[in-house]
Amino acid sequence: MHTDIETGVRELIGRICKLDASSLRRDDDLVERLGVDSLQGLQILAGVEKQFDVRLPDDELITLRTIGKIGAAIVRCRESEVLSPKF
Amino acid sequence: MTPHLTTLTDIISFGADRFPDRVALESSATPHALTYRQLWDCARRGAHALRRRGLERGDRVLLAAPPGPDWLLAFFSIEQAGLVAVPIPDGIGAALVAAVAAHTQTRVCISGPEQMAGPSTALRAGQVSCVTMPGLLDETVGTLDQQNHASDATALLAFTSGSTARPRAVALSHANIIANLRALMAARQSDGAETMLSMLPPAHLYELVVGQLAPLVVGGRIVYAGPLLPNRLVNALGEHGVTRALAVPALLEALCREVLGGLVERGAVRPACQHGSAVGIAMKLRQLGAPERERLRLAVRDRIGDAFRGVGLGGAAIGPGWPEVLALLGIGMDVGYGLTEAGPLVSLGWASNCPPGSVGRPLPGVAVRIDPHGEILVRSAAVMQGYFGDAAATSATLEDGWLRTGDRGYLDADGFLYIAGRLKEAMVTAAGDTLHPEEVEPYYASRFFAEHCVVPLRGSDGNDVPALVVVPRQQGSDEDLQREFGELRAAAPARYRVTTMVCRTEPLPRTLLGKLKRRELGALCTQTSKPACVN
Repeated sequence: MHTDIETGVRELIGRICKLDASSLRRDDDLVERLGVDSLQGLQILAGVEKQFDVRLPDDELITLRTIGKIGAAIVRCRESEVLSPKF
Repeated sequence: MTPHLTTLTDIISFGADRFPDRVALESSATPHALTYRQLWDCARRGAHALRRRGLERGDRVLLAAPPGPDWLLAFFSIEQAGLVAVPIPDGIGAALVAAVAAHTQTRVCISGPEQMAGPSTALRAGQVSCVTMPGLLDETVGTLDQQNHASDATALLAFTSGSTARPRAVALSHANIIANLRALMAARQSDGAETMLSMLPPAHLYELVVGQLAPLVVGGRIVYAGPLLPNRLVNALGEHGVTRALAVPALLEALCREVLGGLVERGAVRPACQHGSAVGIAMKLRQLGAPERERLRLAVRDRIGDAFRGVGLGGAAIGPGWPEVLALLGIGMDVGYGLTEAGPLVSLGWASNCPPGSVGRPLPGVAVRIDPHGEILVRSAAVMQGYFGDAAATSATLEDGWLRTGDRGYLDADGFLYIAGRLKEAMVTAAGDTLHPEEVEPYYASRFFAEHCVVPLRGSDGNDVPALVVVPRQQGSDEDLQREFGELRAAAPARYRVTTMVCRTEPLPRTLLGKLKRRELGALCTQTSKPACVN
């Protein structure tokens, strides 16, 4: 499910953190397991917003710490934009 | 025109008279905005509510609201009531908040709704009541119009984020902060019409004084950034017509990379200009011809807006190469030096007008001298009243009106100030050499290390053994790292040859504001150090 999105997120994280993207699992905690610091975390979320053309909800940002959760948030953003398109 | 200020709330009462309908505070992400008149009205109401709670002149109030208009409104409410604000940095943990409350004998905390669950549990145990700013305003329709406190009354207790000592509460009076604001205005000769993008926590005195109070003195507008996603921050510069912003080095570097990334997407520069070290990026940008550089600057302006004058750098020194990258992109930068105890700003300069490596000239009215040990001493009307409840620390830090900064530095013949390291981080080796980590570190920069620093390990003879601590990048084996270390060592001057390397996988420990905790890291490495790499 949503494999393309998760693949895109995985590659993005690999690029920003200079890690081998294929070694990242969808439920790896970016902070706990991968040692992503807070600034890299913000850069990842910035990259997600640009690459997938979404605006992630402010109150969810702090919870987006795995590839799976980021992917799901992107899907939710896209669905809500279909209901209320951007002007 | 700079108004006559006696206390800090004169800033907004003056603003309410001069430009009542001008927006003073707004959020980038939400429609929340306050005009000068609303800010002044709400602060007087907030002050009334605080007094109705039985608080009396000089009582302390914890300020733990998240950054945003309500934070500054809470601050002015506390000041208007003649109380003492104790700003708490965001996210420092319930135990520390409770310790601060106990140390400052505080009974009331103005916090944000989403934080209520954390600190409030610990605070309630210490009989501290928590209230949000909207909650406080709902408690009364009355206003407290009279200021019944003097200029030399304590306005706030600022917890320092010092990198070498345990946090202490720095007591600053209204007069201290107003003196620093006057000095800043005199140095900058501001022409007003500032729009400041606020990215740093206002509990950091640099952000509070330079980033928030200073723009309000000249009728400016503060736009609160919200979450610090680099793409949103850079977009906000252009969207809100921002003129200035303050940043710590790590944030400024992330913003530069975001701007460079945008230039790559537009085809204005090659992708190679986005990655790698700042020194490398600067070198690539320098190679561009004059027309290409001009196109580059126009593309940058297109993104960040024509109004943007520059960024103020604070918290720590910026890495090599970044000042030049900023200059090549046509982005101005203020360099400076300060510390909470000095109220906070000591020196300031526009980077392109200052010699490389300097932190500008001392502000007007701020005297700086260097003692025989190389320590920077500061005397001015902005220097703190003292450390709250710690007379011994106060008398050790304030001598005959001079503030001992704990920083080492020097002044050149033209009066420019340079910082050479923290005095307390000086390492004394078994050979009797005094070494400062900042002198040694530049010799060990490498593409194999994501981060590196030099810390003192405690040798068996009680002397310091300088050690290199590195966080390796993913690529490269242990042999690669050892070979690289050997080559760097061999290339360094004899005085800077470090004998021990410690590897860790965790990022280097830093304070909330990004300063390296070298002593803490040194102690940690001393406990666990062994010849091979440790984590």
